[in-house]
Amino acid sequence: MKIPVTLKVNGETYDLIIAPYRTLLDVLREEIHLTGSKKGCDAGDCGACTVLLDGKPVNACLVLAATAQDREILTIEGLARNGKLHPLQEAFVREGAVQCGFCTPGILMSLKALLDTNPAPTLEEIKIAMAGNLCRCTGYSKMFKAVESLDRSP
Amino acid sequence: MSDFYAVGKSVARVDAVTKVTGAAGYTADVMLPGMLYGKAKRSPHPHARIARIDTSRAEALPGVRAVITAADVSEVLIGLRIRDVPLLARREVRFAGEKVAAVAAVDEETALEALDLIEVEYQELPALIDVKEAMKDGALLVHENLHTYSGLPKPVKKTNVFFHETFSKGDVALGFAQADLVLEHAFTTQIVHQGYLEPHAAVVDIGPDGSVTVWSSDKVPFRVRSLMAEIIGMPITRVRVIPSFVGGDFGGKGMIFDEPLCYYLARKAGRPVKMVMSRQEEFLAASPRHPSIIRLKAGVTKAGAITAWEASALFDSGAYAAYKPQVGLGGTKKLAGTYRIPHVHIEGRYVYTHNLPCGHCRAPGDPQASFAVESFMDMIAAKLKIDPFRFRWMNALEDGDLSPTGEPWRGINIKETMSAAVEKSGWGKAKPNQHYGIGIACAERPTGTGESSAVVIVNGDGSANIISGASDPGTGARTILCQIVSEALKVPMERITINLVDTDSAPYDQGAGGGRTTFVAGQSAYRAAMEVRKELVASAAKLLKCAPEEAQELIDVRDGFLFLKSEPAKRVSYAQAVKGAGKSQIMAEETFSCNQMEDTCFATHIAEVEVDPERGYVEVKRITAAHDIGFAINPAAAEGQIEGGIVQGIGFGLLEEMQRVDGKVTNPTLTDYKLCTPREAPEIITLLIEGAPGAGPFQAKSIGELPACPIAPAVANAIFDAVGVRITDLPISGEKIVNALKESGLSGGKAVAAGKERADAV
Ligand code: FES
Ligand code: FES
Repeated sequence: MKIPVTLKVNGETYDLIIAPYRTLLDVLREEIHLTGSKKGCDAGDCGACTVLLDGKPVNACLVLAATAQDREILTIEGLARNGKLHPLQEAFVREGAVQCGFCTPGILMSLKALLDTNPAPTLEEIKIAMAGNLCRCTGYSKMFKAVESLDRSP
Repeated sequence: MSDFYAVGKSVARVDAVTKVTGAAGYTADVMLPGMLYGKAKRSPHPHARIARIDTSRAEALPGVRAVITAADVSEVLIGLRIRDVPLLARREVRFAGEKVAAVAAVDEETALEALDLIEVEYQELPALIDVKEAMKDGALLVHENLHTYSGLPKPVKKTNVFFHETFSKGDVALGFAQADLVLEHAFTTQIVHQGYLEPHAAVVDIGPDGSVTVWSSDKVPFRVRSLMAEIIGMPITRVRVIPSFVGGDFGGKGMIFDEPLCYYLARKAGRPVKMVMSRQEEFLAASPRHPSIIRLKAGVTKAGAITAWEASALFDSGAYAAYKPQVGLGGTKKLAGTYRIPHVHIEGRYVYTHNLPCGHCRAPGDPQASFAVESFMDMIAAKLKIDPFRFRWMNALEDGDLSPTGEPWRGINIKETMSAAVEKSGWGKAKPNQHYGIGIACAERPTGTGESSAVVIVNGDGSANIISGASDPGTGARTILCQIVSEALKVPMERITINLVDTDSAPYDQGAGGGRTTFVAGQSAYRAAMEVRKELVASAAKLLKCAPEEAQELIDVRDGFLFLKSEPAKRVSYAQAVKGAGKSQIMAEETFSCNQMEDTCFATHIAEVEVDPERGYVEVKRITAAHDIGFAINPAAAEGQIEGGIVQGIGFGLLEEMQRVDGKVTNPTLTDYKLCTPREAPEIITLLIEGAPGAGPFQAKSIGELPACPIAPAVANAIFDAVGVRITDLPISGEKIVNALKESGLSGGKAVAAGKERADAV
């Protein structure tokens, strides 16, 4: 049996008919074709699927799409606005914080959530915000540096 | 060096914006109309005979479009060198996780449901899961027909040891006779996963004319093409492989996995099929790092000279050898380190068992060898009461020396990396606290060889394209090619484009791996660019009224313009030169191929740790890593390789282990198999040591693999320095430290005191 679900993703509304057990990650990727959120484990362990749900970072692979009805969903595709990269995205590009890029969308979303509430995080706070995100390529160093390079004047 | 135009600069990666916006397409992102989802049924047993497979209930499930077993697929055995792996298990399964059937259905849930409906009747057979048992005479044979397999480096028969290699120099018996002291120790390393974040994925679409299009997370599109063509029995021109972005490799993305199954399912269903391995499947049946048992024996004089060195390594290859392009692992040759030793004998054995097959993992065999050798160096130093740095320094190779296995190496600069690392780290300084320890390790790894071709085009508007089949699984290779071409042509980076191109459109490239891309693909791109430049100069000569035979000498280029060196103000644009040549574009293609080389790269890592002796918890505080790189074309990218390799190496040293019981992996999730998170990431000081001659463009050497090698022993040596226990079995878990402390009577405060005493003695 399928059910109707309305999702608000990156400011757009999508009316969908989906099976109730489908995860937000699968629905974003396969129904809405927003494939920027990645599936690294499908079990809440890697953070590659991180999106913001009402501003809070969640693992989209652990959220049932139906429970996200009417909530504000922000994915990596919505991070740049009007063709302009978010300062975090710019910093990642500039500092060489991107390698294979598979973890990047999830990590950027976790960091966006951090900066929204704490514009001048310490290294320890950056690490805590990223603690649910794995990256195998970078050793994280350049990601920390990218965040630290941002203008942190309040 | 500072007047380079585009190289030697940390320019942003050409694909970074695509990646930070989520627009980069990986194979799992490919969505085709009518596409089906495939899933594989896997054996739960490490060794069994397949008595019967009944797929009828799965086929009857609504939404299922195709089910296949071994009866539906080619009988070929495939492999990167030794061909021993079937597409689906036929009659016999040889490891828990081996594929026995596959289904394609309208969605993933249906495919998974169908898997449960496939009935497989197994007759369980005894399994060989211990590598030493597998080596015994009369042991059960994992592959009865081994002698019929192609790709064996030497003929072998009725054995599980499918490859035995030796390296010798001098006369070890003589060397041991000259020693004052002979030491011996065994080291063991565990099986670890490459840990790339993107699981293997494949999509196959069959055209109405039977031509095959493949999307694959494999990093070597041309090898996917040739293997698929061979399996299907078609000329390679009928198979087109479209590369996607690759979400990490570390050696694990060089072999085809589900691509052939996608093909057979697609053929049966008449629709395109996608298969993506789950994280669990990745742990059960990909191609992780070989576990090893390494024995080392050294003869030394009281003064600290090494007179003889004997090493032997056993690598448990698991059920199939197919995942190794070289059969052996490069690490075996590294079992005598980077030292001047007159008499050396090394043996490596590669053994079949009923464990999961192992393959290539970032510097195959090297981290295992490095852990053993560099831990042992410290153990010898301790015995001789010589400072570990000094002991290494006394014995380190110098330029002009032969390698430990007797080969010529050029530009040996291990000592430069040692001094640089010591200078920038806490080596020789007072310990900041009582739980602190510091350790050093050195390593070496050659630049990879291979073949690559590139096309460089300067267009009618003066912009440039590079057409290369080189893959970039996250290393920055494509950015580096652009920098090389930008430097050769003096065209700004933003006017150069390199796209992912399919195997019909790009010239052949052997693929990323072995640290070859900057060298091999770099040389082909550089040479093609220089050819284009020559033609531009020849054309501009007419416009600049320069004699053609002097043009190459007298004309220079800058920012997409040509001019006489004597008259730089009078310029001809590339656009004019292209037009002047009577063409719409100027294009050149170059192939570069190299199979043997004397270039190698060196590194020294120094680890500073704090160990909690009560819980055995190790915090890696800081790593200082000095790498001989020749020339860093993109310093930030090189640092990124080093930083990533270090954190991966810390995982190998302290955390990661695929645990197995009776041949089955018992922790196949990222919850139970720990990769380093941001919280375990230490401060890393990277030191790029330039100036040694490299074979790559602008004297560049390679950097991809070496950073993962010396890190685990550096950490192990630091732990010993901190608490006085020597763990020779990886990973160095807290439990092992606590137990070792208990056994040695060194727990808690005593450990600290012992550490201090040693520090004072040095
Ligand atoms: S895919 Fe969601 S946490 Fe890994
Ligand atoms: S950049 Fe590859 S996993 Fe992070």
